Amino acid sequence: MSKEEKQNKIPTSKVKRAAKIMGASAKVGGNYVKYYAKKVVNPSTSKDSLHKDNAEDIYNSLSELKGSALKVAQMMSMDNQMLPQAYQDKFSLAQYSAPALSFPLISKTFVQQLGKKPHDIFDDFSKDAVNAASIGQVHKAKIKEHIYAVKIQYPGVADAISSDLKLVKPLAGKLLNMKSADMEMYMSEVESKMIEETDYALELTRSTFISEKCSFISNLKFPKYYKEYSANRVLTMDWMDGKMFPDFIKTNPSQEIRNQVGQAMWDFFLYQMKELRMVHADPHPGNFIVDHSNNLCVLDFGCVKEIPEDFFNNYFQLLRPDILEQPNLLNEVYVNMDFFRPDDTEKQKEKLKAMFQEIIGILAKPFHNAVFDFGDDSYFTKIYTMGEGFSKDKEFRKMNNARGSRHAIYVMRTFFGLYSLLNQLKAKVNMNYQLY
Amino acid sequence: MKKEKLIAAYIDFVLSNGREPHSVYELTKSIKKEEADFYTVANSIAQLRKEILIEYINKTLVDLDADKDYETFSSREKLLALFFTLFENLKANRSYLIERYNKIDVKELGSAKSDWQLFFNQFQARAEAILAEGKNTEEIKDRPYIGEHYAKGFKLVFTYVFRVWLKDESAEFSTTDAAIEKSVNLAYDMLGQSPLDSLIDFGKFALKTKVM
Repeated sequence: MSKEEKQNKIPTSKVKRAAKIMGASAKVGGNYVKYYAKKVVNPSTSKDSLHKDNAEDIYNSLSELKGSALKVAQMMSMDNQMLPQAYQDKFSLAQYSAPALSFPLISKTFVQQLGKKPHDIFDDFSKDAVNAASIGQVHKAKIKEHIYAVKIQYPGVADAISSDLKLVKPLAGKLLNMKSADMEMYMSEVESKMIEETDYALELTRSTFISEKCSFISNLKFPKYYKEYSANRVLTMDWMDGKMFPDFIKTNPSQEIRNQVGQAMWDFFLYQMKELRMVHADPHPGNFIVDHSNNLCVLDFGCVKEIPEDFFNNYFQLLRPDILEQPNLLNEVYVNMDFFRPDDTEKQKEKLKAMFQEIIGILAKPFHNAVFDFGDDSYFTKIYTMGEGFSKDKEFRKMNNARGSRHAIYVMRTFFGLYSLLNQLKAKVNMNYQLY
Repeated sequence: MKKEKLIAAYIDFVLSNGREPHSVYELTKSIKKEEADFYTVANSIAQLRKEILIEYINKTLVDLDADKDYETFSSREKLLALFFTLFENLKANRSYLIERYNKIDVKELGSAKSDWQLFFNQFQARAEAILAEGKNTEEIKDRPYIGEHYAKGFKLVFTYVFRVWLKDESAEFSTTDAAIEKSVNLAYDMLGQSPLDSLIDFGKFALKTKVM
C-alpha cells in the first residue's frame, strides 16, 4: 500500500481512537487536540518524517472523514455507533478510571437508600466489587442459598453528565464537523439517555416490563429484579451463572448453538421494536451472558429507547425490499424524517439521495431474505467502508448540517450493535419479524 | 439547664434572627430563662459554639464504636467511615453551619477558627489512633519527622470536604460523598509507599549536592 493510500484510508478503529483521545483532552484546547490527532495518525507512517503542513492535512482529512461519517450517521445514523460512542467513551473513560468504591461508602449508600446496612439485608455481601459497570459497581450477595447481584451507583454520576457533555460539546462539534446549533439536538438526546441510565428505579420498572413481555421467546433468560432491595442508586437482581458473551465465542460453539443463540438475540430485539416500541438500546457484548444450556441471558436495561409511532411508521419503511423502486414513498420518508434541509439545493438533494440509496441498499439487506447469514464478513466489510467514496467529495463536505431524526441515534446504534454481535457469533438467523 | 436545650435555643436564635445574640442575656430571655441558668452549661456564647461542634464529633465516635462492622475495617476504611459518619451527623444542623461558616464575615474569621479548636483535638486524636493502627499493619509508612504529623493532613482534608459540603447542592449530597472518597483515598495513598518518598529522597540528594 502506498503512503498516499494509507493516509486516505483511515480505518474505523483508528478514527475511534482519535475521537477518544480528543474527547479526553477536551479541556486542553484545540492545539493540543491537533497534536494528539497527529500522534494518532503518525504510527502508521512513522518512518516518514511528517512535515507540519503534511500533518495538518492529515488532521484535516481525519476530521473530514469523521464529518462525512457523521453525515452518514445523521441521515440514516448508520455509522458504526459513531456519534454516541464518541461521547460515551469520553464519559466512560472518566468512569472506568475511577477507583472502586470503599465499603464504608457502600454501607452509607445502603443506609441512605434502603435504611439498612448490607449485612442487615444479606447473609453474605462481598466487600469488594466483583465487576465494574460504567456508572457503578457490582457486588455479589447471598440470602441463604440464593445469590444476588447488587449494582451500586458511583456518587455524583448524574451531576457529572451535564458538565461532561458541555465539556466535549465544542470539541465534538469540531470533530464531527457540525454547526453548534445542530449539535444541540443530538446532545440533548444523548444527555437525556445518559441521565435516564442513572435512574435505577426506572431501570427496574423497564427491565421487569420488558423481561415479562419477552419471556415467551425461547432460549432467552432474564434475571429477576428485586424491588424490595432496590432504590434510586441500588439495584438488586439474580446472579446469572454462565459465560460472558466474548468468552462464550472463544469456546468455539457448534454452528447449531451459534444459530440458536443468535436467533434468541434477533427475536429479542426485533420483538421489542415491533411490539413493545421500546428497545434495550445497548447491545454491548458485556451485557450478555450465555448459560450452561446455551440460553442467552440479558443484563442491564439502563439504556432503553422508546420508539415514537411517527418514527416507527416512517423510518422502517426504508427496510422494504422495494423501497428504492418507489421514489414517492422514499421522498416522503426523507422529508418526514428531516433528511433534507430547507436550504439544500436540488443538486445537493440529488447527491444526498444517491448516498442514502447506497446506504439503505447495504443496511436493509438482511431484511430482504428469509434467512440471513451474519457470518458473511464480506457484508460487514461493505458496511465499514460504506460512504467512504462520499467523504472525499467536496460538495458533501460543505453540507455540514445535522440531518435526520434524533430518534435515529439510538435506534441505529441498536441495529449496529445487534449486527456486530451476530457477526461475532457467525449466526444464521431467521428474520421472523418485519418492521414495515 | 440541659446542654442540648441551650444549644437548640442558640441555633434557633441565630437562624430566626439571622445574627448572633448580642449577649447571654438576650439569648436566655428569648427562651424565658434566667441568665444564671446559662452558666451551668457554658461560661460564654463563644464556648457554647465550641460545644456545638464537639457534640458532632463525640456523636460520630460513639456511632462508629457502636457499629459492629467498624472493628473489622482496615485503617483506610476506618478513616473513610469516620468522614462519612461525621458528615452524616453534620446534616442535623446544616442550616446553622451554613449560616455561621459559609457567609462568615472576614472580621469574624478569628473567632470562627477558635470554634473548631476543641473539635479538631478530638478529631485528630481519633485520626491518630487509626493511623497508628495503619502503621502497625504497615498499610501506611512511618516516616521520620513527618510520621507524627499525618493526622494534621486529615484536618486539611476535613476542611476541604467541609467547604465542598457547605456549597453542595447535589441530590443526597452525592458530591460530598465523592469528595470524601477521593480526597481521603488520595491522602491515604500518599502515606503508603508513594512518590512522596522519592521526592524526599531526591530533595535530600539535591540539597547535599547543592547544584539546584
